[in-house]
Amino acid sequence: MENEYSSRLGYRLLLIFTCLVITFLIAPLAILVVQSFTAESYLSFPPPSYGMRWYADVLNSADWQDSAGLSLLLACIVTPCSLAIGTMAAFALNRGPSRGRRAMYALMISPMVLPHIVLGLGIFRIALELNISDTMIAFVPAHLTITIPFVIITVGASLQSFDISMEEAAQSLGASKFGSVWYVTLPIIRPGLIAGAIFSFIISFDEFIITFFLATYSRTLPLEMFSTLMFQVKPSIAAVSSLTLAVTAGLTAILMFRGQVAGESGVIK
Amino acid sequence: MSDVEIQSAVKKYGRFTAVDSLDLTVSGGEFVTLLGPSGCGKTTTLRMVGGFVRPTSGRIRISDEDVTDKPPQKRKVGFVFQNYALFPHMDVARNVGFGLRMANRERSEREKRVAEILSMVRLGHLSDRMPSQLSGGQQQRVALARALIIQPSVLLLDEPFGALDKQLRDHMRVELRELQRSLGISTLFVTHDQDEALSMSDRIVVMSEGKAAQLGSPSEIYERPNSKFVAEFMGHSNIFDCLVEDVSKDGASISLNGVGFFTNSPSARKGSRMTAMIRPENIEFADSGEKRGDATVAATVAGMEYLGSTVQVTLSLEAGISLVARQTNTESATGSKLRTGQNVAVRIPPEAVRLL
Repeated sequence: MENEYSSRLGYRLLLIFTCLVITFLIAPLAILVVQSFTAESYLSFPPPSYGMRWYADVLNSADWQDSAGLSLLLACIVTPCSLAIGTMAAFALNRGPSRGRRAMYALMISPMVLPHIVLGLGIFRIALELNISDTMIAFVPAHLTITIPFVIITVGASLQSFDISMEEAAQSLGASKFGSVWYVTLPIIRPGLIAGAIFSFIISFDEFIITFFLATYSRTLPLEMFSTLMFQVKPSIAAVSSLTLAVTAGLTAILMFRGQVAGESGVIK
Repeated sequence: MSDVEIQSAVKKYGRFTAVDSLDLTVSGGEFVTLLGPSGCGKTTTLRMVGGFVRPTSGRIRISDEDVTDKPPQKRKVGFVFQNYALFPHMDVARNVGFGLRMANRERSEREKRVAEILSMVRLGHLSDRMPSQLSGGQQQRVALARALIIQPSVLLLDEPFGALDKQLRDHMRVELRELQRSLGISTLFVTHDQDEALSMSDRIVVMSEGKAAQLGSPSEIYERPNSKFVAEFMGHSNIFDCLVEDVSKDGASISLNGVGFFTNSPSARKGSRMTAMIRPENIEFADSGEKRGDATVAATVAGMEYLGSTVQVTLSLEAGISLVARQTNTESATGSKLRTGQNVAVRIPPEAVRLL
């Protein structure tokens, strides 16, 4: 923000720099979105003519429908599981014995920083042993390993600022231990829960590397996009990308515009 | 029939003993205060009664029923927390009605009783406000109403005035005490503030290092502290080690570093070293020329502190003894006319000197 003492030159340089950063981040996406509206049969920028041709193509394609359906189904199963397990883990880390708490926290959020290719390889080995690869029984837990840390972080941040005497107050007024969490704690930490759920959904919906290891015939949306790209670069890929982008950006917007979510969960400032 | 009975309660955290073999009974609408410095175990004791802390040994009984192993929700205690712990996502009416909702009472009954209790604490007009829209005093009344609506056997108050400014605190203290009296509900109150304890309590338990240092009425605790700790904690400033020189049937003469005083305190034993306490408000200034017998002592005014309704005078006696006297600040009082450096004669009546 500009104040009365900041130099005008410095402020202008900062403005230019900020614009450059934003352009660098947005431009590739913007070009892709523009290309997706081409009426030609090849990708070019700027497109010579515009139309909805490739969106129609994508939405009518059985392959794209099936893969998007699988991704949605997977994300819809993963999100509630991730929220439930991650919330319980966050409670345990917040309320459990202090001894070893930091180590346990580091261990539980480590999938965020571990190379996904290594995780994928490990999970693939186990899935092979158990003969469950290429099934939902493998996909769901695989996605959970990478979504749960996000719930632990968002819910954990909400719990950090939660005053436990409110739970005690509820208990002294006749609520059971579970009742006090259900009626008091969960509604108060709701912003953290919502943030965790949205993160889980987006991450599961976008996940590629680990799913790639596990899938043989199944095609999630990212896998379908990848295999399409392997054979040909058609404008349909730009249309799919734009649609995926719209879903992800929409959910992120919900996260951002619920002001409280950003502030209280402490994830996005 | 007692409302709360604490029987040799002990709470240990590892090697640290927070509460050490405490016994206390509260009954018949009594207002009992647990008073002590931080870390003396007063809050731990209250939390043991509330069911949030499980005693290491000993029993807790509420309404003649052993609740030691029962969780808070089975105890019927009204707990008011230091920060009120109002539920921020519920309006005033839902906060207050929470206990009835947990007891599965009919909506119509809940609404009726919430309205009743809110009018009792004079908050009927604010029932649809959220806690964040209320002032500190209003929040406290909501917390009180919420605790009282379940008709608890005992009211537990954990430093409920800590967050209020002084004027409001004085007001709320009177209001709370009136409400408590009219309901006739036995109350256990925790505070570190002596004034609060003295003005509100029927009985006070002064706690130190997990033990009850003294148990008694406010006047007993203030006027006849049984130990140096209690005397110091109750704000007595003149505490000295002394030697009991002689004991007669009327009292005893004692010596502080060679300066002699006379006391009618009954506990004197000849030849023993004891702790003497001289209450600042009982020290009198003898007008020059007036003859008041051998009880007067020569002193020099070392400092004056103006406190509004009183003036605190620091006196320097021979043998390096420093004594604090407190005078009511009236036109005629000698204390208010004193000047630093002035030589004065002070009279210390035998009843003002107490041996601990």
